Amino acid sequence: MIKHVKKILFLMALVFCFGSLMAKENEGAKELFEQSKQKLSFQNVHLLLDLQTFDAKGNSKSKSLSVAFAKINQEKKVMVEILAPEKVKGTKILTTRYVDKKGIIEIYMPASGKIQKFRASNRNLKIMGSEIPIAQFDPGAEEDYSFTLLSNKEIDGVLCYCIKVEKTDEKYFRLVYVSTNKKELLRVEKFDVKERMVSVTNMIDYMDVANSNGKIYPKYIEVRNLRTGKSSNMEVRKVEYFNKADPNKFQLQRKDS
Amino acid sequence: MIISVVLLTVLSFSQYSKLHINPSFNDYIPKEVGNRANLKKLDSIFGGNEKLLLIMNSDMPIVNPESFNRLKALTDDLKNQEGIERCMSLLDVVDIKLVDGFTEFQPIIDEVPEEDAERTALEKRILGNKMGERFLSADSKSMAIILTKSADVEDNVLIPEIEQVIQNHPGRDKIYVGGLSYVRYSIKSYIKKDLMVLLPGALILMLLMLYFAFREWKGVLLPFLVVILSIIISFGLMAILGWEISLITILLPIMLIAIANDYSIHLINLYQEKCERGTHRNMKLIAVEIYWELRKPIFITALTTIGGILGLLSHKMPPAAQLGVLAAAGIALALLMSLFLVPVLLSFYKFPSQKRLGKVQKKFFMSNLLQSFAHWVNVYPKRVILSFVGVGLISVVGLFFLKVDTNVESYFIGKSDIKKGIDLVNNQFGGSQYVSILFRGDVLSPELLSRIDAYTNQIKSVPKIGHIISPSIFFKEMSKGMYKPDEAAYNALPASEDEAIQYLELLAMSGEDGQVSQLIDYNYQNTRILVSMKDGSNRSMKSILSALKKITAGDPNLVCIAGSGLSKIQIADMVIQGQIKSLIMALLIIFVLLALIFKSVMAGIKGSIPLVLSCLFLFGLMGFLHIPLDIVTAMLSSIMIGVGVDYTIHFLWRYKVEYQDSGNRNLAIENTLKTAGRGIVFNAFSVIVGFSILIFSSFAPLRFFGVLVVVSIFACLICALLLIPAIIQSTRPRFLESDK
Repeated sequence: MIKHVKKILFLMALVFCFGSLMAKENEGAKELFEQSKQKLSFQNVHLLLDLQTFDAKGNSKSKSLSVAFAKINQEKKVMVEILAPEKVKGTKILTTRYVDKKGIIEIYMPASGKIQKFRASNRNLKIMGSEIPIAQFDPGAEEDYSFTLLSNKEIDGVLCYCIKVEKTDEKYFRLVYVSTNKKELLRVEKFDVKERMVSVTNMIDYMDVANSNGKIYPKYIEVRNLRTGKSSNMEVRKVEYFNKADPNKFQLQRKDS
Repeated sequence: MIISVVLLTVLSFSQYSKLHINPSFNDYIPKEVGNRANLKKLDSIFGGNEKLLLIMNSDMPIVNPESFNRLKALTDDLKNQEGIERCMSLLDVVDIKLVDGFTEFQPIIDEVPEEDAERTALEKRILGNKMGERFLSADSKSMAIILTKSADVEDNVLIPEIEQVIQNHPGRDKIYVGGLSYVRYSIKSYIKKDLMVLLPGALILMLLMLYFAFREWKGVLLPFLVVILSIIISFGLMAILGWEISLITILLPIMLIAIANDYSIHLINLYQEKCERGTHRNMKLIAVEIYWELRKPIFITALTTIGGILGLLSHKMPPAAQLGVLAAAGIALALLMSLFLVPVLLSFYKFPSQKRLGKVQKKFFMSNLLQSFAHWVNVYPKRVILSFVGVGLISVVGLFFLKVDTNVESYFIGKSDIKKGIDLVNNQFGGSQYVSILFRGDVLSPELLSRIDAYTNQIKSVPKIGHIISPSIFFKEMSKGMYKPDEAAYNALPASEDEAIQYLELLAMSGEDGQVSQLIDYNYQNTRILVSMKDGSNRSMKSILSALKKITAGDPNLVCIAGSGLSKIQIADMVIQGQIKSLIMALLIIFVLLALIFKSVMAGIKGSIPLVLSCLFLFGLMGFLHIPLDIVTAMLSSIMIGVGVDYTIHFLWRYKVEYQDSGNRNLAIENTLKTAGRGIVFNAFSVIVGFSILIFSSFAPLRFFGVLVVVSIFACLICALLLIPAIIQSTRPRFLESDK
């Protein structure tokens, strides 16, 4: 009997040790992921970028965008303005994330002069006409997710940590690749419940954001949707850091107001 | 001779691996013009055009938690299936609305309410949604998953995979599949299944019939051997030439069964006559004699049959011309084997014993009837002719009821799952056959969108229209999420091109652009209205097509009206034109050959009359019985010409000999009916009895084919046994009697 109790105790100790090791490892995964995202410049930064999108048949569309990130009164804001082409020029998308309530997305459409509001909980939302999720520009988008560290993998010749990011009520999970040396986020792979890859996002050629205290931003972001055959390539032409955000620049106004 | 036949058979067998079945209709029509060319254009803009519908059907309301979970599991797998471009279901329907100042693209259904009242309200909401109504039947007992098939995927690859997905997710609801590609796939399996059971049955019945007629096994085996070998070698030739087994060339074995055994049956018939007469007891001598006596009529019948069948070369459809070549080759082989192989094999047999001879000499079951035929023809030749003229006139009336229908959906009858699936799709889900009205230019300009809206409203009133999926309906739905009901722009089209583009960009941003991508292309250069048809028959499709053309006539942005189902109208026109051409060609060839053989123009005319009458009878009867003229049934006249001309020539040739012997017309007719008539009856009855088994097929074309083969052969038989002797009796043709 004592022998059995010993065995049980020994097994329990093993489970406990393994469990705490796992917990530490998972905690490490979250830290790694957050570290890689914190390196990205998501606050007080203004980007000018060109976006090229392709459908499954290879037809393409180009857009030029201005994207600005700011934190105003505990509210995290992202303002996207379409600069070209002419027919959608002036369209603005403002994403606001609050501390105590669900975020909202407001879209100003110059043709109607109206502002359409959406709930930010819609994770399907993408940068207009692209495969790039708006959440890509949202630093707090993964707050309530769980993280698991998987075995390392090489991405384009760079050794990376592989982190599984998932949420129980979501149909998808992601594998995030963070370089082991520079802790840069290099790739995000999205899978469905049957572990079939749905999309791949690559972040290539990181550049320093001047005066931003060591923040970086990828020069190119490529997204391929493997289901629809659509893809998007984003090239950052210019990155500017600003010390203080002007609240007026992070507001949308109707044409008639 | 035997060695060369064996070698040829082995060679043919070795080529069989190259053969494959292609039941597709589209391959029969030219690629460069008409609907097929327009479909190619549509495919290049919007991807695949063919729809497949999976219908989940239940006795209870289908919107229930179990069915909903199954729907989710099915669509999840189907969306990832290669060869499926789009998979749309209730899960993709969004309710676009403005709530508390927020635009909501809410899925119309994300869970099924427990309460009955709430569930009923949800059903109402779905049926009231312009995009959702096509996924739920009006009685709420069925829901649809609509798949768009990639243009480059084969039916026999995709359909088994879809069936596997269905099997992987079993459930209480029955799932039916509808859509042209499923119908095509099913045709293939139905043909295989029915032919595997029914064709051997037909052959066994035919053999029993021959045994019953000749009362000895060599009378069965020798004609059967000729038929089987000619079928094997013809299919070998098909493989060597790289031709496919199509819905038309599948008729090859049936043609050869009906025609190729004719020659050896006449040889066996004459051999039995000679045994009965008892002039020789030496089988070799008998074999030589029957060869010499029948070589000319057999050669002539084969030559005229080949000539008639080669009339199919004038057909525009390649498979019809291929059938002509292959059947002609098969008949030529049957001729050679009948003339050279059958007498050789016959010479190996022993002369029948007295007991067997007695069995053989047992009274022929139709002797009395043939005697009566001789009596009617000799005593009342004009009445007999008048009766045929009467039948001919009634048949002409039937021609007015004859309709051409190449709709493959009508091939299935009875209570089969495919039939139920087709009915559900057509009656509850507006059909699976879609027509696209394609526009090009500034497709988002308010002017074109308003015209499209007007066309959409007009199309709603066209009879037999199922669902309309139009960019104008879509934009109006979109506006409900942008404006409040009291605003003028609510449920209205965008006021400017820019606004329309911004709507689309907004939709793309929300990730809900799946539905619109089938209506407006990526660069906003092309748009289309999709119209489904509840009835895929040629008549309905023609009237719908003409209504659509009328509605959109003169629109400067209209490019074309096309749809996968519309190809059959083009095919139907080709069937009619091809059939008329090939019939005229066949009759001309037969007329010329008969005139040359009997050295008389009258021989050409009189010999062709039974063929013309039989054709009239066949098509007239099809009109009365509402059997449509389609690709398969249209080819029947070729079989009839082959069989009919054989019977006619055998009768005329034997009559000529009998008249030369006796100089008495009545006696010559009577003897011809007793001798050659016996062979004709054996031949005809073996085919009629054999093919009557096809009447039990659950596959309409095979059933109709069975009925029509029986009718055709019977018409040829009656014409040969009654009309030809009556014409001889009343017109006393010199080309048959001048030698006396």
